[in-house]
Amino acid sequence: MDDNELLSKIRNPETRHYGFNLLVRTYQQRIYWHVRKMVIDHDDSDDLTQEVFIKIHKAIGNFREDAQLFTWIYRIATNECLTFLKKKRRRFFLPLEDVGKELSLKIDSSAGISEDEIQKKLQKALLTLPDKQRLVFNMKYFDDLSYEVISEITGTSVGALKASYHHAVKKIEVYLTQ
Amino acid sequence: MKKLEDIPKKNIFDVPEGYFDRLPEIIQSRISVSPAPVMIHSWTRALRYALPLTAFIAAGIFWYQNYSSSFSARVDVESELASIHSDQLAAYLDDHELTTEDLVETVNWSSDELNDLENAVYFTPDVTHRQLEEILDESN
Repeated sequence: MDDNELLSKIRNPETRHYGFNLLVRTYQQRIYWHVRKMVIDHDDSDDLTQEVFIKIHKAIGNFREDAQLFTWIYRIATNECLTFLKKKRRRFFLPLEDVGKELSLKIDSSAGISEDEIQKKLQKALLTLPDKQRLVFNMKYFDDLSYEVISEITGTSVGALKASYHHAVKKIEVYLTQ
Repeated sequence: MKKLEDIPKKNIFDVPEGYFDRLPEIIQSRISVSPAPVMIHSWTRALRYALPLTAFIAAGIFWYQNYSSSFSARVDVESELASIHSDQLAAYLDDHELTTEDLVETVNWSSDELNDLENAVYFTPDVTHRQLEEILDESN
């Protein structure tokens, strides 16, 4: 079922409940993995994913069809992640590096994370990047989104995104070599 | 330097078994507590901003019209009064039970006007006490 059909089901009072359930089932995995790569911990990702869909449910009436439903949902999830990480830093007065270190420790200690050492090292390298740069890297590298789509989601120009991604790759490769 | 492209793309994270089967139900149960979404059409969104603006402009026009009509009414009364002859005004006031004090109280006098009025009523010529006695003696 495509996004237009989903929307028409949500807009019909008789099929609203069913339509929204379909939307959750369609997007839950993409949103969960998008969030998980940013906040690392499963419980935090679970909370955030639920919050994202509750926000989508509240705001779907304001959704304008000049944007794609998919990019709109991604944008909400992205904002939730960035707000969560910002709050985390504020709550504990932590600088960027310390939040990265805390999340790195989770990579080593949490259950539900592969024991593949090189993959763990890659994730730790990503945690040395600023949140927004990590977000751009994840969307480009892991989710295979085009720069144009990432631009729609983040509101950043394609040129700036390209520069950010290439800069991130350089930093990651330096970290991996250490 | 180690290249990123040498590392296979893998998702190293895992979720508890059956997590994605349960998640929609959890979300639905949380949503059913909150009110249903209200579908807003683009024209109602435009109306939401346009209505207060229209009301504000209407109130402004209403106020301006009232202000300008009361201003022109004030000007008309003043010009009407100016066109009436003083004798006619005095005759009118004589026919009505208005005392001078009543009339004075209705006017907001400035301090200069009050001084002029006091001088006019209580004017005393610039003469000495002796000169005044002589004047009184002569008049007797």
